[in-house]
Amino acid sequence: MNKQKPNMVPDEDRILVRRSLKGDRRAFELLIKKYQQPLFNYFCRLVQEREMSLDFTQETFLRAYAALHTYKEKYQFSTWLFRIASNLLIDHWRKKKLPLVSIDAEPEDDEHRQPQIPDLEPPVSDSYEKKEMMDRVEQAISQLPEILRELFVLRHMNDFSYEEIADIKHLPVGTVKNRVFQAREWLRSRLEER
Amino acid sequence: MSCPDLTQIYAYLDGELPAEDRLRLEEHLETCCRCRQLVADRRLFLEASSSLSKLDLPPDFSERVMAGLPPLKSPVRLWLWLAGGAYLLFSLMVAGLALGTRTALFPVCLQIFKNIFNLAADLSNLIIRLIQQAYGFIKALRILAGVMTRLLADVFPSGSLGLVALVLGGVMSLALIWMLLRPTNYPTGEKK
Repeated sequence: MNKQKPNMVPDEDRILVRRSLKGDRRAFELLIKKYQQPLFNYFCRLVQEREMSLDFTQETFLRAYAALHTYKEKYQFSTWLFRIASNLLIDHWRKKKLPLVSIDAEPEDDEHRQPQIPDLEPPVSDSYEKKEMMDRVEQAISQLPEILRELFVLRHMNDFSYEEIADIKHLPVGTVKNRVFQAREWLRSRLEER
Repeated sequence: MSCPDLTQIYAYLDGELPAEDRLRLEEHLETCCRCRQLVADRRLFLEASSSLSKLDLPPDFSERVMAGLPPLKSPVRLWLWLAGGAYLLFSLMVAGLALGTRTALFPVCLQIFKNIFNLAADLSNLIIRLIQQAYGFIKALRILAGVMTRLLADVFPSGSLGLVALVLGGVMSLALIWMLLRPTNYPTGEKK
């Protein structure tokens, strides 16, 4: 996750957590200021309601603060925080009874499937410039199945590496790569249709 | 090189392709118009996906979160819970027995008190003896180790050589003892 923290090294997070645990509320406020925007973007893309995204972002920080003593320094704070956010989101989806397992029903060779190049696909770049494509992607994301959408957002909007996403979601790296691939190609096929 | 599949193209665009494969793919792209188009297309798509606009947060958001923070929990230690639980149980028991001495159950409670006292005394005696035994055993081991080390240092100039000699000597002694003590069935020379 490099975009949101260009000037901070992970050790700074750990120092801020240590200071927060000693009762320094200002240190935790610095963590909030650092991660509020990435978390809000994450929720906005996945929940697609501004007020609810604000509530979820706030709730993530409250849960993180309440559980700060359980944070282990061997993990990155960002992945630990996003794991809390992801669990919050899963609870929300469960309550809404959304079909969370739509892509889990696929065969077991999820990690090893090697999609081939489709024949004669029309290039999307012929039709769209980058700005236009951004608008189209924005619209198409909302139609992605939730699990694929979450991984796509973590990868492209929150700039987490595949390994970090695997850590957040407790999934093998190969599965994460494959699902991000599926999300990309799913989106791209939607762009093609338009 | 044949045309790469889409996973390879994405790995290339993610910068995750090993250097050798990357060079091979780039060489291929120079000659294959179709793959070049594919890479350009996916590159534009990925750039667009990673450049989506950031949504604005209210300016006072962090203050709002700070205002709602719960009290900070301190790390909970298991031993503290166990000690606290044991202490609470003991206190309740003593309080119950103390109350019992004021009723008709006085002789029973008194007997229980005596038994608890005796049990505690026996337990503490046992623990002290165990500690003494362990201390004596460790001391004996240390003395033995010291004697052996000194012996080895005196007999052999090098410690490791000494150890090897000691082990070999031990094995040979055991072999000798076994040869001496094993049941013999020597031929006597008598004909049946």
